[in-house]
Amino acid sequence: MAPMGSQVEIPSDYPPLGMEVGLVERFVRLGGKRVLEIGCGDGRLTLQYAHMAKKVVAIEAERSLVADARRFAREDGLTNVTFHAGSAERMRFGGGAFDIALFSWSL
Amino acid sequence: MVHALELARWHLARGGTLVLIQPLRSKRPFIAVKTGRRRQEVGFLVNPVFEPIITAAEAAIDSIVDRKVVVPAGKTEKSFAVELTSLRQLDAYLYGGVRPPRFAPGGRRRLEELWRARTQGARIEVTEFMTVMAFRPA
Repeated sequence: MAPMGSQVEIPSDYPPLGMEVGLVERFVRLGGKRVLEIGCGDGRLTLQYAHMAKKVVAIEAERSLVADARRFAREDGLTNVTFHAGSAERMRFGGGAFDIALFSWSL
Repeated sequence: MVHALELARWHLARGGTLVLIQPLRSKRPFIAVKTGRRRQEVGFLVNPVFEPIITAAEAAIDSIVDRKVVVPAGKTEKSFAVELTSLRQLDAYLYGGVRPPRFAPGGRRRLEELWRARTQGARIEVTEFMTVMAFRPA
């Protein structure tokens, strides 16, 4: 237990590692797919499945989170992921460009 | 929200899949005090601020289904538990977000009573609920 006055460690309120990927894969395999993720935050979920996908384009409105996501992806050595800062509603990547469109806690 | 969903659909290839990971409306986070196998229930949290957002998301989903932009391809629900070691950590966990929940009447008092009477190794358990929905282009 943290002593009084010290910073309290706050556990993540997201599901444990791998749970969301497992649930998504009940409906569609991520392996080899082109994925558009909308509302990716700091890439928490993106980085869990990106190594399986052919290509991932991930969008997040908050620029600081995009910077974090890019750094984490770099640290993981991922080269098939592109993070974009901005509104998903303003982005155009071409009709039919993706096999999966994923909203992760972002609708 | 509708526009974002329609745009996501537009980006999908033939045979593609739209996947939504969402909090589950019918089950809000549940609090319990857990010691080993013993689990003493406190109750569900409420979040009036969050409800309209879930309602809007559901309306957006209904809209694209009703207009046959997509067709449902499956839905699953899942829960997961987060264990916390103190009331202070619970408060930081619950109230750190932009739309914090609150206890139903009497819930906080019951939690504090149970926590005061806890034995060694006790944890505060927060059970969260989620749903994953899949859709295919119509």
